[in-house]
Amino acid sequence: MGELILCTSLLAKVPYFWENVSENVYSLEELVYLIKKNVFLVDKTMISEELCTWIEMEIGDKLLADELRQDLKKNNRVSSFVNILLDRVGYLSASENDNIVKLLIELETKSELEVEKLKADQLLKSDKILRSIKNYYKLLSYTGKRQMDDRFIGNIWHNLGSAYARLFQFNEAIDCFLKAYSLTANLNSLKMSLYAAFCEKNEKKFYEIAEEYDVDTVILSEIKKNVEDFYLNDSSDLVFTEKNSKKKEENVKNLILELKKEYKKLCS
Amino acid sequence: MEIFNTRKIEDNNILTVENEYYIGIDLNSEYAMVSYYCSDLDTPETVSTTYGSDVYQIPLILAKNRNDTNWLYGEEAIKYIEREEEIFAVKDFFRIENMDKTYECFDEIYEGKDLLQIFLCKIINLPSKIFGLNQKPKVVISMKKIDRYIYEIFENIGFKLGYDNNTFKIIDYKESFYYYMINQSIQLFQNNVMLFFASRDTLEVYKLSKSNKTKPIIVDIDYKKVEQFTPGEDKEFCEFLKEQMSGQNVTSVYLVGNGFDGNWLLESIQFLCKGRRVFIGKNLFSKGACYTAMLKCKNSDINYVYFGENDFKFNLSIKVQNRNQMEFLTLISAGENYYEAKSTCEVILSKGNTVDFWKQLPECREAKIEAITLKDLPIREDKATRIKIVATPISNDSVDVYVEDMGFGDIYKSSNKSWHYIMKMPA
Repeated sequence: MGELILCTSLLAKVPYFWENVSENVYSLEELVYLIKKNVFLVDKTMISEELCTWIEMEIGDKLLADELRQDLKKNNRVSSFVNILLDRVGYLSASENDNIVKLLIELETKSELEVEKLKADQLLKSDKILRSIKNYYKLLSYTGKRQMDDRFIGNIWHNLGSAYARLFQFNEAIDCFLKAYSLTANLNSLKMSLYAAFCEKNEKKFYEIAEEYDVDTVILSEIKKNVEDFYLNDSSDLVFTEKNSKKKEENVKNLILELKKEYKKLCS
Repeated sequence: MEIFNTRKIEDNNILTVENEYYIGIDLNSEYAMVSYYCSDLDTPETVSTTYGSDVYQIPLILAKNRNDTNWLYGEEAIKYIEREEEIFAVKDFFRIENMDKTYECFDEIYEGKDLLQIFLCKIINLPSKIFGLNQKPKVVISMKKIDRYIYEIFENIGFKLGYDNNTFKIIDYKESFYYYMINQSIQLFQNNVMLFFASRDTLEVYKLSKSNKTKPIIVDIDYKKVEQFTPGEDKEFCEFLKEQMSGQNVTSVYLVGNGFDGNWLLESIQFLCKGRRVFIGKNLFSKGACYTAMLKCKNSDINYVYFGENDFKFNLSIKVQNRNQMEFLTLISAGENYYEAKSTCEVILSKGNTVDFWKQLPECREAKIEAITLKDLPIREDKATRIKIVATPISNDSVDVYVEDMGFGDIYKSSNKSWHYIMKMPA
């Protein structure tokens, strides 16, 4: 049996643009949905008079806007501002609201560097690849200027590698993974560099890395098999196996368009 | 026997309001009657066409001179027609078949409904002209029968006269009778109440009964038309009354209309007055309309409820989560005028693509659930689909439910899909 959540606010004609997630928001429910998905991207740039004004003028909820303004004056904390918003909208369950607020309170106790990394990780998870890369490089620019241990830096390089791999920039990805491995000695980073080489169909590079880092042949076979299995199960292959040539041409065109659209989104 | 237009101090629950002004109109194809109430009065009064008399009927006639922009109406128009030669006069504009008919008035063209609007504007202003009332009244017009066509004509006329749905309403005679009775002393309707409405050749019988088993008390009104009726035939009418009253416990009787003019009711009145209160007069429906304006426009709580032909017969609701509290959101309430009732809401779908509608008859505790499946709704994450629900009654026992996929902003674009269902009253 379906359940229904009552929308108590209007749909805005003019959206609120939440810069951190690069999304237009037309309702309070959408705002809360995005907050839940991107908790680490909720920061002081969002809790603002601009948002309060939008809630008052576009959503038509002056009471909520005033309550949020009061909170900004009194507390000026992300967790308390968001708590009021979540409670008023009623889109998430009480426990979901509590979890978000607890996480935000926790973030308020973390260092700026830790928070920035969590943000960059969130951007990567939300497919905002270019922005995540930018943020990771910003963090790396602090090396030597702020206290960051090898493990922390290594993790940044690893995630950078993942970001480049998502953009099919495998050379850059390989370099990043190997840098991560040199700092953390995490075998996973080394494996990722081999995956990147294999995905690029650069056998020479693949074996160079294997030899330089003395990778076990079992691991090499595992990597090759996983990649081959992936291509075998890939449904986009069905597009190419279509017998009807006209339909096949149409399918290929549609697939290309879809992939282009996805890639553009990753770069947004 | 009593006249029912004399002042009485009511011991019932008439609303007394300050600075408010209400008008009730009885309208048929031959005449109109206007009753009004303001805070200076104990009960509604009816405008008489001649000062100090009990003549309330205003003939449905309009007249106009070529060189004059002013319209004359009623008795004034009749006298004018008798004197003047070059005039435009019309009297049949409140007939269904004439609403869209065109009338040539010198160089101008009017439709029947335009003339009706002119006439109504004149009579609505009557009480304020005579008694110097300055406020804009709330108006209720009662007539024999209402359908959607009539409703839309009057709704349009109301808007053109500067009113809205809350301040300009139409009801039928049954409803007017109901509102009249619930504003009378409770002794008058301890049991059944009969109303006989007689014109020159027809007789209509309204029987009001109530069920004390429910709270609020449900009032019912039966209606019957007697085609062959001749005023003046006292004996035959008396026999007819005996037939109507047989086996009934009737507390009061109302004799309304021109058909009872002329003092011919001798035997009939003798019979009726045995153990009953009997009233004779002409302005019951206009007063009932005035009482309706006083109660409906203020949304007052009353101990009675009447489901007329134009009233929606069941409650239609959905169960929603509102700030983490489960509650029922009523889309259409039983008793709402079904021409006026319409409800829109927006909800977020969760855990599936079905919407449950709860249908409940007012006298029942239990509700029946009718589930609508939104077929071919795109598959999205949970709580990432906003839908609009519009419920519009199409008759007093069925409602058109329209559901539209609104998507979820830029996150999920609307599929532009919509679904229509007709829901009927539960058995």
